[in-house]
Amino acid sequence: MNVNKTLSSINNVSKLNNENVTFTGKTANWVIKNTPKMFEPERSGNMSRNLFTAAAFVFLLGGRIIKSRDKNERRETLTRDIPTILIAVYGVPVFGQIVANQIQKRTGLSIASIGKDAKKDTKKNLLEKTIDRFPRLKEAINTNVASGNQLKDWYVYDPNLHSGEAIAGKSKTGFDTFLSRLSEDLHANLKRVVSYLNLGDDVKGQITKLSEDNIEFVKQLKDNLPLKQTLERAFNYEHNGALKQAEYLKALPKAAGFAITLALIGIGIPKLNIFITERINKKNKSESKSAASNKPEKAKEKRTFTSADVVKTAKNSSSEKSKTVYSSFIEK
Amino acid sequence: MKVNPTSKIQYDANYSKDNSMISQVTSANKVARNGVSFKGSMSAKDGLADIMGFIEKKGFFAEFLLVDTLSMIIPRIVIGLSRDKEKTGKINYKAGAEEAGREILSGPSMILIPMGILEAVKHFTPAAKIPIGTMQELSSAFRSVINKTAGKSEDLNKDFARKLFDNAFGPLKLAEGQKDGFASKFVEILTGANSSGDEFEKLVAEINNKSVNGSHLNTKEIKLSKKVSVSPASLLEDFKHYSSDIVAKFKEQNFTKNSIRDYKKAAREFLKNIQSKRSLTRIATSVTSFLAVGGFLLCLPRLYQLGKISPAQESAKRAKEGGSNECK
Repeated sequence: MNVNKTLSSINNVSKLNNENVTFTGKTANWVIKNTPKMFEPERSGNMSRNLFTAAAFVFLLGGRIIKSRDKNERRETLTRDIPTILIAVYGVPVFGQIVANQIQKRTGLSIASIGKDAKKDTKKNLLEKTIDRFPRLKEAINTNVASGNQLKDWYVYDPNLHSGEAIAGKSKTGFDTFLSRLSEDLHANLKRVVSYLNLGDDVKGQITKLSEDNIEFVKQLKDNLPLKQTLERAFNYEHNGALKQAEYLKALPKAAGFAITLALIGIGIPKLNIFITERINKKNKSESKSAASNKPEKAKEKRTFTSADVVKTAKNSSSEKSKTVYSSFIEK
Repeated sequence: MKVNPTSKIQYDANYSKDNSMISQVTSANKVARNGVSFKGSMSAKDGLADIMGFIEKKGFFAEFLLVDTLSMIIPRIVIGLSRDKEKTGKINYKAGAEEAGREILSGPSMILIPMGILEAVKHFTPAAKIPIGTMQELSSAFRSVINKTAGKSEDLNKDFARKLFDNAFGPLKLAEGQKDGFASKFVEILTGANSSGDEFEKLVAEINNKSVNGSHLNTKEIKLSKKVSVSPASLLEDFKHYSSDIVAKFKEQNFTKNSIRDYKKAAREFLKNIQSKRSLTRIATSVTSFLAVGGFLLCLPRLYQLGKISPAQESAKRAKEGGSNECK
């Protein structure tokens, strides 16, 4: 019986240990699952942008506000540093996305993909719902500028690219897939893309006669096999002109993002700060003026006029009547 | 690269007829390759594209440093150096040095400290450098290998790499016989000691392009699952960290082999624990970075303050002595 008791107590202890292990595992899983994504560092080890912003607000801005000597300095710290931190961290990508969206629409060359709205309305937060009210802004923010590698995929034809029909032995080639990816998936204008290729004058002359409409362009190309094969070869080249132009256009949004960010931080925010300070000073000045003009009148001292006052007044007066009054007093 | 025409006879006929078009393309490409161009704007365009491409590769680090340097560090140092210059007639080196110390140490430190901490952690636990989503997919694949091989694997790393290939490219439709060839090359590169990211990238692009239903918008992408996609270079790095840390530790364990079931249970438990620990280490690293940056910023004034009186107070003192009401 003692052995049985010992064995059962060992079983109980091992059960407890297992439960402890399970509890620790559950806690760890809960922490991993529920930790906000902003706490995950980037591949290089940097803090995520959101966490970086939080650190700047808490330590940089918080420290300055605590050490500020008066309410004016506090106000200036807030009006200057809050927009500076936000623009320094998010300015380049956000302005870049807006510029990229416009460049893509105006030039006909694809340098970005437009992200689809995957979230259901019920799961969106307030900021996302606000952005939904402005379709153009929403499209601009969902613009994902392509990486250098992606651009090479889009503008350099890889002969490995096969369509299913080509594998099955039918007429459609990988080059058709390449062109349909540019026109249907990426919404590029094929004629404009092709016009940047490194081609001779004769070939360029033929291209100018083709249609601006992508569907018509593909049909016309299908009827002109030598031209199609020429373009296939031109796109096959690793440093083709279309890729070069796309790389240049892709650099513009980033450069514009930097320019706008630097202009806002270097010029816009200091001017805003001065403007707000002047408005507040003006307001304070006008308030103090109106306060001064609305002051109540001082209560006049009560004074009893005596005969001495009469005599004094009469003495100082120049009228004949007053002199008579004065002399009668003197006689008395 | 060789161009594959649809019909050889048709191609040859057209080629001989329109040889001039091909030669025009070739000569135009030669010009582009040699960079000979009488348009000066071409080199400026290339220069801009190269600079922005470099910044993009370096990520947020380069982007923020550039913005911070041009908009805050340089202007504030210049303003500091020229403080009260019209009164003293000299450059104010003290004020300039304080501005330089504050601005140079505050901005870049917010980026360099977290990077340093993660590198230090990676030295002891390499798998802590793997993103949490990728870690979950790698562990899921490794778990499948453990369940399948049950301790009888000859080379765990190769089986693991093969499983990753099956997860990423299994659903793709490839021509017969190609899949195995790609798989063995994939495993060879992933498990090789001196594999390069470029070589791996070319292979992944080839696999995606040759498949009928591959990712054509981004051919240099490996989809480990519906939610997790990585670049070839990232997967190569993550695989190396995972195998040198978790797989190596797994091999050192001596799991009970009373039954296959017991072995699998013990092995799964070990994997679950170590995966959780590495993910928690990663989160803890980020929190530590956040606090370390905060601590550094709070202690920073002691590093750059050169005297008891601040440049602003000195300026106010000068203004008072000079009888001016200006306050800088």
